[in-house]
Amino acid sequence: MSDQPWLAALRARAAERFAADGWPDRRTEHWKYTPVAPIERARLAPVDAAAQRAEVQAVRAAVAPEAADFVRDFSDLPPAVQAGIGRVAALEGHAFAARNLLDLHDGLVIHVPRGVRVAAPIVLAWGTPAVGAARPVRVLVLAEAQAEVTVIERFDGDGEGAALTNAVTEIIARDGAQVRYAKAQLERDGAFHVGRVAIEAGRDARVEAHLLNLGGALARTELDVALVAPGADVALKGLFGGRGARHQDQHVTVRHQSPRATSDQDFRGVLAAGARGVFTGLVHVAAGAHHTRATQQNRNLLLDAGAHVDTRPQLEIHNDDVQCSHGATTGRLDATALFYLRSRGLDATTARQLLTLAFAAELTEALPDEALRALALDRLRDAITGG
Amino acid sequence: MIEIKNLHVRTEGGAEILKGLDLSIPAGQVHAIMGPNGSGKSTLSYVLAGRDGYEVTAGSVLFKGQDLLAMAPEERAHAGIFLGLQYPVEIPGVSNAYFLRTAVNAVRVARGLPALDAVAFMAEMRRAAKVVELSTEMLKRDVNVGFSGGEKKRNEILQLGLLDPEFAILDETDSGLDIDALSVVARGINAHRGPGRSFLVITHYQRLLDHVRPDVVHVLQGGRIVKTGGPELALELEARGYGWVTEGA
Ligand SMILES: Nc1ncnc2c1ncn2[C@@H]1O[C@H](COP(=O)(O)OP(=O)(O)O)[C@@H](O)[C@H]1O
Ligand SMILES: [Mg+2]
Repeated sequence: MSDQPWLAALRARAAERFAADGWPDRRTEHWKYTPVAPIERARLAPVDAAAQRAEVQAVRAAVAPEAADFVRDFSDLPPAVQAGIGRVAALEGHAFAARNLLDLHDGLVIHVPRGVRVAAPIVLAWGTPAVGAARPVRVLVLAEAQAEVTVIERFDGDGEGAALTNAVTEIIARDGAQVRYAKAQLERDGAFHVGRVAIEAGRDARVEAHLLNLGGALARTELDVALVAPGADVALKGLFGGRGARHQDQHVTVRHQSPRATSDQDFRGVLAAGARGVFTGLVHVAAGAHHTRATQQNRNLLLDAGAHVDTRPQLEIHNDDVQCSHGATTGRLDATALFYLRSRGLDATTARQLLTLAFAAELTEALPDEALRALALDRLRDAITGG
Repeated sequence: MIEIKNLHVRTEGGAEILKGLDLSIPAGQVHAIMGPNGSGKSTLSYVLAGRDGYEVTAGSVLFKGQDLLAMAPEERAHAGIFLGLQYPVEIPGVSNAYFLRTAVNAVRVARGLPALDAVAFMAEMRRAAKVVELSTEMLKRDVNVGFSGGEKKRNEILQLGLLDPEFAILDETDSGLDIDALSVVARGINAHRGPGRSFLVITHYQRLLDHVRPDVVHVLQGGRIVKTGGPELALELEARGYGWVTEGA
């Protein structure tokens, strides 16, 4: 089977882009805190077309039957749906997004027609990439006006060895649509993961996006949000970290392009024993975006002296009738609270775990899926015990 | 029950707070410690419960014959020590009910008792909450978050009731309480008095002792017990302050 002409055209554009930009390096402003060299050095080979198609079919086949009708692969897409691919995830300045297209032969599209509510969550369980492989993963979620859907992407890690997942997810929520999305990056210890989640929210649309960035050796997810029509409302909730040699980067850009839109960001890092976290968050409010409401919070918990976090919350506002707040804090477990718990009979490890889970509780409780919550809690407990 | 001999304690900063404190509390008795602000009352309570940040430079503490100072805070709790804090800690993100159940079961298992399941624990908690007139609403909220001063102290006495200690230290459980809250707390304490349980009630004021009648009253000043007497000593301190205690010594 050969690729669709529209895909070949996208790929040609991506090839040009990639040839022009090349890989980012430390001098690239947006990649200041995250080294790309280890990925390049690993000399990974792109997954071939047949293997990609097989994986896409396997992931699709595992979707709950009551939701399966809304999930398609790249063959036989209606033109209006196909046009959504590559629409919100721009290529300029995004070498990995270009590379994703360049290596891409198949992906999944979730299309929910106007006014339709999909009750069952659509879980896309991407397996573990083969050792030495660079795997592109591509998803488009297209929620038409007043549609409702929950999509969960899982990147689980089994076994050992270097591999790269390069995942691009585009979410288009048209007027009044409601999308809940969660991405769980739980890749194995030696793995690299670079991802992009690009969201476009229309008039009175509501998008809630959860990011669990808790696995891998080197992982970065970019969240790009455009609030393109009045009344759009986007909430981003991210939990990152872990224990040991991990580097986890969340790079958030929220663009308010229209009046009376709302965005909220709540990112929390829990890091131990050599783990390193990066949070960069920009809220950009365009000149015409009156009555914008935007919040941005990054809180970090360093469990020991070996953990490190860089945090850069930024606001760029071209308006004066807005309500924007942002802040970042980094701290340790509260010694007084630890003593209090231990004086009530909890051993030191249990007390530390309890306080760590409490730190993340608002985020884990908001997750749209019970299995995801259990996985996140396990990872947080492991951050304490090294399990 | 508890035998403190020649206890010397300094802070990590090097300041000596307790300077040769002796105190012995037999089983079933309630002892009160009074003393001016900054005399080291809370320090004593923390050292007995095992909080970090204090160095014992001399002396010993035996609890039922065991070396208390060699034990971790949780081991002390398991062995039967309880400290009601002067300033109970707020823990956002942890519900009070979950915290209480985790604590109760940690202590039960360490004492060789079976853990309580959710149903059995709820029954137990309701019973204990009634004693201190805490509503079930307070049990659902996060630990001490948004509690009034009185509710925090009642929550401490609730924990006392659930953890079933043999030796309870109550550090200024009366401070910041209005008269109604004080009588609820006092009733809670009295409900837990018994032959197998000893109390060390730390207080600044006489008024708690009107409700919880102590067997013995001590005055802590300058890092040592400088005077010991019966309940009437508390009244005398209330009337005359602390100055006279050491003047005559
Ligand atoms: N952890 C500590 N570090 C330094 N100084 C302390 C510490 N704890 C108590 N202190 C000091 O020790 C003295 C006694 O304090 P505390 O035991 O709280 O007294 P009380 O409870 O009788 O008011 C005070 O001067 C206080 O400032
Ligand atoms: Mg005190």
